[in-house]
Amino acid sequence: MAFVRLATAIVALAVGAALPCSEAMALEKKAVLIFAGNQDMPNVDPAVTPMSVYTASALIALYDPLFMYRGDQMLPHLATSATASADGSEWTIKLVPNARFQDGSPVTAEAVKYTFERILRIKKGPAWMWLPIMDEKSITVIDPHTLRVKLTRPFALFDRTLPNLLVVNPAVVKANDKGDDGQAWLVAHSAGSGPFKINEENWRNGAQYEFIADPSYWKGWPKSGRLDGYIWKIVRESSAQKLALIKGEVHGAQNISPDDVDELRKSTGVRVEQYPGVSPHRIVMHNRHDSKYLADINVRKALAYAYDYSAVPKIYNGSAEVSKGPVPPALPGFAPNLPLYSYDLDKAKAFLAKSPWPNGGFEIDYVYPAGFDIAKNLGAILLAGAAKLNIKIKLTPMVWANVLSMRTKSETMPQSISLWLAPLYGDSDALLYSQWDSDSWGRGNYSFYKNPKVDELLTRARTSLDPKVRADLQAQAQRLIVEDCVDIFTGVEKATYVWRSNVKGYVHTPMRERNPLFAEMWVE
Amino acid sequence: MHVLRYAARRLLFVVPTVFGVTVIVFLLARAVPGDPAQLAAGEQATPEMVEVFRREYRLDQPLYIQYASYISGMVRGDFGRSMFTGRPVRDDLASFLPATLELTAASIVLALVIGVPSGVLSAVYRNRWPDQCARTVALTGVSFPVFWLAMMLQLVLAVSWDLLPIGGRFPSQYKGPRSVTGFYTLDFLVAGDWEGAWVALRHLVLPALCLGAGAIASITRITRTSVVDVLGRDFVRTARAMGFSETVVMGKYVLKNAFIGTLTMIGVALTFMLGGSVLVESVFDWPGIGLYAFKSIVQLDFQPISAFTVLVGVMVALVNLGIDLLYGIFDPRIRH
Amino acid sequence: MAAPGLRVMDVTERPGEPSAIGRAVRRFSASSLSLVGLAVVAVIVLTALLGPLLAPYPEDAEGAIHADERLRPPSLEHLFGTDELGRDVFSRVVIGARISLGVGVIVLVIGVTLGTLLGAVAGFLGGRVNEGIMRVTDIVITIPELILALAITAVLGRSLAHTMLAIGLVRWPIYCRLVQAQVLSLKQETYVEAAVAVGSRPERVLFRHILPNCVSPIIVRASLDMGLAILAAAALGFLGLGAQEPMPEWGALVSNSRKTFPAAWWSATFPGLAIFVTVFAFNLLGDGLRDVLDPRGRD
Repeated sequence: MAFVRLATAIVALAVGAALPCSEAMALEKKAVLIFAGNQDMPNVDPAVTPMSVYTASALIALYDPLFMYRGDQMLPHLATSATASADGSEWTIKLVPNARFQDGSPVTAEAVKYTFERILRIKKGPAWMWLPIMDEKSITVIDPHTLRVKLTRPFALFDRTLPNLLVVNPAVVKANDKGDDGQAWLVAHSAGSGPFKINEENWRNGAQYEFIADPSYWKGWPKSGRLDGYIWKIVRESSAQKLALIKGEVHGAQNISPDDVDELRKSTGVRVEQYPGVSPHRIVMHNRHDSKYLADINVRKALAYAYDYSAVPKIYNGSAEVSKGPVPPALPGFAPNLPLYSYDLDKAKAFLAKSPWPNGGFEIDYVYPAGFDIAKNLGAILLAGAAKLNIKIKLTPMVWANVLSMRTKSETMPQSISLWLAPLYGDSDALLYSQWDSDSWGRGNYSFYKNPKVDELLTRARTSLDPKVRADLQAQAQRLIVEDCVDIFTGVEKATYVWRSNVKGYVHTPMRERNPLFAEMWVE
Repeated sequence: MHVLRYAARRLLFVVPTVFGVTVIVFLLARAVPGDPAQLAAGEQATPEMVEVFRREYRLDQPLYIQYASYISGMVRGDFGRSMFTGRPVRDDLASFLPATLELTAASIVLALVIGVPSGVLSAVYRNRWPDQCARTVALTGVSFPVFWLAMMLQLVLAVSWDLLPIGGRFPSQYKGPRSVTGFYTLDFLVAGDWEGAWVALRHLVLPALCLGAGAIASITRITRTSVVDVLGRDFVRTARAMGFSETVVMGKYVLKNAFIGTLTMIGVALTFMLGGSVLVESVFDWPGIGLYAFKSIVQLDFQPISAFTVLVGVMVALVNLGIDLLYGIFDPRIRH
Repeated sequence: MAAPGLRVMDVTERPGEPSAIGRAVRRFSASSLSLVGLAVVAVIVLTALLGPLLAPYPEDAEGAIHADERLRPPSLEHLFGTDELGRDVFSRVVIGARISLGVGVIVLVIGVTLGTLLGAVAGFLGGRVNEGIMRVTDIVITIPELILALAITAVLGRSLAHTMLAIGLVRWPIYCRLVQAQVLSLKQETYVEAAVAVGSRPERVLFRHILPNCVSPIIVRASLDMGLAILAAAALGFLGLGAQEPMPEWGALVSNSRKTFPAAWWSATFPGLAIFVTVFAFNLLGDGLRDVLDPRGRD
């Protein structure tokens, strides 16, 4: 009967689906490393997509920066040196003589000039670093391997921004320019000098991105071995990443949740690496909100003392450390021995008693980015502690676009928000200036904090070429920020990498926390 | 011809409906508080940089101009550019839509393959244990929260018993198929690659099962009801009396007439799946438009939001139109 | 076996209202599945009403956290284990019952009220008004439910109240169409025409004669819809819209557990199970009611 035939077919299908699949369909025996990432790379134009937390790997695979972070240091790459004039307003950049683009043409000072100017023209992505200090007339080419940059204002940290300058090939960009400076084309094509090329047949948005190694890369490859290519595979969930690692379907992953790390530590064939992080989390407190509640330093101190800091590493399952101040210890310029706050309900109540609301009885909005459970949980710690002061914390998830539009004015900024910040160049100034200088009101200074002494210290630090002087000024600024109890400094998550045991060559680079340099890795 | 005129008339109804959908979506998207230009420009962006985005996406223009350019673009097939990916929305949709369509198609196929025979079984053995069993199972099918079912199936079948893959469309070690239809299973078959098609199919099983659970249930129920209804009708008894074999009776008369009800269910199920795919896609890492739509809504990326909703609206409207037409073919009494 | 449609009369019965209900109750009780549904729904309603009294650690649903007791598996102290902040999952599930049930009820109230009103108006007035309202329902039905609810909560902000409003706004077309169809067909009934001929005011005709006959299909539809409303709310909760912390809405509980799934399977399994059992029970109940009130859909 027709029905019986149909039933048999269904059963056969079900049985067939349950049979284990033979892995004999791997393409060719090539050293291709598969990395599980949870962020897409929809656009690899270095003038549009900044070297932010999630895209740096792709960008340094396709392009070369002037300087490259490796380990704790900033090393010369396309540039050999960047020297400043005495006042820090004029810089001379010298390039290596043998760098070549992937099409064979040499990387010249002209190309670097073109790259800078293209970024300033397009005004997207990384432009914020240079727009305030450069204009179209800033750059002059001295010779094919030297250029001079005349800043519109002195900035002692200019060289620290140069690892973000990825040089594009002017000829290629111009050839594909449709009146948009080549933006449409560079979304999924490379015009760089980097060690990898895009494999257009396997560049699938939302699924995976394949990079093929260029054997003729001008800088050469490590003698110990190199990859033939790598695939950045989108695996969004940590548990899926963990399973893929255990089964050997991927060689590495960087978004493993702290709870999954435990299981991976116990698995064979897998290696867990953890390093101190550089992206601190903090609870921003609006220091001026309505001139009420958080505007009073006693209320802020009360909340800072009511926060159970020891819970932070616990909810991160050991993968985070309590903050030791506004700046993470791994960043140059970190000041040790600051007068930090601790979980002390007596002190909290004492400070609250000094405020106009000694018995609490009010509500504070805690805004966190929607979808980030950790941010919510860090707020839950505050909620539990504040409840003991009779202060109600309202956990409010918000689309981040809302927060960004609200932070432009003191009147619209919420009372408190959950914030992570990654330093975009390797100095405490990257955090200090953008978060606590009054110049940054309406932008990164979410707290609307203004302390003229801090402003003065930071300005002097930004123009001091001597790192020791700079660090001392920055330390004083950090001390003031802590004493003013501007925000609650919660914790710094560790950078966690999990690799299969046969993956070699990874050198942890704090400034590229979540983005390996695949050019120096290989698989045994 | 009758059917063509009927089709043309129904098609005319689709246009104002879709138009209405675009207006509603457009207004909703603009009404959401927040400044997407700021988010797209980046945390550290200077006001100058935010302006660049605002101008590029015409956010500084009055609403009616934005709507006009949006509609005119859509008619030309240009859905604008996503503020976050920087890519034309059309390209984003082209890469994500086939994945969802494949998933939806697989779910419908699964629903029919499991649901129709179950419904027939139920009807034939009415009120005996196969019927009670099937009805209860069908009821559980519509009672599961889809996301939870997905996680449970993942837990049991993929993690504990390791029978099926945990997610994705196909494993990385394998190069994907040359894109012909966008459906990996079909593309592999077209290329003659049986093994690849098999792998793609295995990745399809769990997500399709989750997405189709509700449809399986409702198709079982409606098939049962329709078949029971038809079995009681005169012409079936006549056919039996005339000596036609059971197979012929079932195949020629009963199923054909029962199919109408099933058609309606398919339409309903499709609408649900296109919307509910976001839940299944996020659990199984399936790169489809459901996930894309959800992320766009979270990031206030207007162009994809509008494009996606219009697209789905058009698809739903066309599906309903198709079903109405099939009704007309199957049952001449309905044509008017 | 009696042919469908024929009712067997008991000789001791008197014709009239009371025995119709009696018959209905008896028919309902004959189906064991429907009784199971009723029993489970009763248990859940009771749980919802008693909530904090039944929970061993009610403070865990109000903001208390115990970072030292994270992710403990089910045990005697914690029947469903603890979640990623050390909170007792059993307490949170029990207290979450009132949220899910409440959402279902309010969503239905919004949907039924709005839908009945518009449907009655459309059916009764007919003509252009009818066309207009039906077009609007077409448009709303064309947009996938989840996406529309997502968009509405995005505009209004994430909160439980907005979720309920969003889902209600998505469901009203169903009732609108139902009532409109009923009203249209009932308009032609002789008793209605008689009432009009006698000179009754239109509203009176509508409320006294037509709408009461719509009640039973609405009840059937609503009881089936309760399950769908709860599922929709859970889906939105899963996506992070809807009830916010520390309110223990079931869908949100599943979503919170995703990061620790499948290692700490209990924090996702039990809330999801609660959703499933509740919806299943309402569906059984709804099916039973449907069999009783609308026998045509049955056997």
